[in-house]
Amino acid sequence: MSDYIIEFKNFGFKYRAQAEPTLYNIDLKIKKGEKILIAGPSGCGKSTIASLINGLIPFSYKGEMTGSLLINGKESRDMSIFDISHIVGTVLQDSDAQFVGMTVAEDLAFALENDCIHQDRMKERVNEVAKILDLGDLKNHAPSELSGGQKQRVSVGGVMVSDVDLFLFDEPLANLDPKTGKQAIELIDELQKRTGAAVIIIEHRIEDVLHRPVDRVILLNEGRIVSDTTPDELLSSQNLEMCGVREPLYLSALKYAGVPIEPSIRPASLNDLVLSNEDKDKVNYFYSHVKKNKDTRENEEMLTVKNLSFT
Amino acid sequence: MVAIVGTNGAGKSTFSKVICGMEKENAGEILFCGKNFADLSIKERAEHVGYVMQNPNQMISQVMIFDEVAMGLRLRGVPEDEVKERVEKTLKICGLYKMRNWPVSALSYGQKKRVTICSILVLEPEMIILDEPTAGQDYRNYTRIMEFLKGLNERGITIVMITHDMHLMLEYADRSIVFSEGEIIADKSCAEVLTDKETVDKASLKETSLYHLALNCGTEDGTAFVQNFIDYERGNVRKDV
Repeated sequence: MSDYIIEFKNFGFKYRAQAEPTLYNIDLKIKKGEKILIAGPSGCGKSTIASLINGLIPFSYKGEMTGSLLINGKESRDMSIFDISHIVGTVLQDSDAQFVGMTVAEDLAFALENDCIHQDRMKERVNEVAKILDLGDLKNHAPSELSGGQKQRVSVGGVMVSDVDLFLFDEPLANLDPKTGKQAIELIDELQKRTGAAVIIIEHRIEDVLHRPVDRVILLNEGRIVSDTTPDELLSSQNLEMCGVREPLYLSALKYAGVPIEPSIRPASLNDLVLSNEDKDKVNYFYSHVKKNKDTRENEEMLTVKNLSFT
Repeated sequence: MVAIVGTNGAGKSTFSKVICGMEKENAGEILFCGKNFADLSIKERAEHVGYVMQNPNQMISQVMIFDEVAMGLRLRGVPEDEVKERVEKTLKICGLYKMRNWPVSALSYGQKKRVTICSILVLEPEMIILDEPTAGQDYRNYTRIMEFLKGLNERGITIVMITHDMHLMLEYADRSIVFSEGEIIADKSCAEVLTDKETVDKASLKETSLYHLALNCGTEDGTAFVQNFIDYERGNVRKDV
């Protein structure tokens, strides 16, 4: 068996409806159990990579593939979408689109039903997963009764039931408020630790994803891999800026203060950040020497609301 | 520029709908420039306060860009030569003039967003409320949309943004109004809101990493650090964009 769950070799892809390829010369290997972030601006090809990994290409979207893509050691074009679904579990950006059951429990059981699992075993497994994801009290709820974060947890549960080897999260933060987003990143981290499966997160909000560590970040731009390295190395390079992807705010502040960003200061996480006293002095110097915005013009009141209520 | 923040279901969108007259308040008063808003219809309010929905696909009803922007004026019976003049002027402000004869379907999501803002702007409101103006946009498009709104603000239009985006708040809003369970729990500068643990928790926001950096460096006043960072960016960095 292969050590890699995903292996792109000199891979290219062009959608049937488009004149130019979306991906060029992709070489990318992802080990079993690894945690990867794929980042890049809109249109860089990151969603296309996701669709290739979960089989939406070629089964839903047609196009021309060149090179080779192995999923768990097998050439993907020789596999059915059903085969792929046993290896790769996808959590879509839009969790409404992923909800197939009338209730949470039914939704969690969907994959098991397809696999003709015995009902007792099915109930057992649904209960297990619901417990892990803290959905126990919500099992009989309809999708419309759930919050965005809860719906996403159901989607995660729906792929978790079938013991996949790779979890693929497509923009998991897009529809969540900041706090729920933070919890989602923590959940993904626990999920990886608990199941030992590989995790691929597709996101452009790097600071939020790095709330929990990842092994590598793949940065894509215009259909090509720009860099494939550790978060510390990536954040110390100019590549994010070049591709129009936002770096974490605390790093912008350090740069303004004149602190050089190098892998040795461990920029990937604010908790691990190593700052010398000299660096801290620079930050404090920056802080106390910012020119105040004089733009504190007195505004006239425009809209006033007094004791308003609505039910 | 003002940001309205808070969890889903905290009442942010409902608040905007009540302001615009799409919902009717049970009690209380809304004053616009000192005048009572309660006497005005939705249409009359729309001439003062424009509302831009989160999803442009839900707002756009015409096939061609020009017609979409012209619709509000045509519905108000504005003569066609004036419609043409005002629509073209507004399209230029929005950077859509070259595309005026394109079908809406040829546009990207961000461009459609711009069309919806344009179709509100053409009515010359004094205030525009935008629901999640940058949802689903990458950094580049985010910057384009926000710099565009900032430009409108500099022309004297009040901009109110409903948002989940902490960066957006910090970078562009002068003030943020925090909703939680139907009530306003804070009305302060963004630096103050995003460094106040209690408000952050209650409204499901996230404390900014800048604050933690400041604590990490032993800066005496973390909130002031965040404010200074914002001032520095606005004064030195954003200008070059």
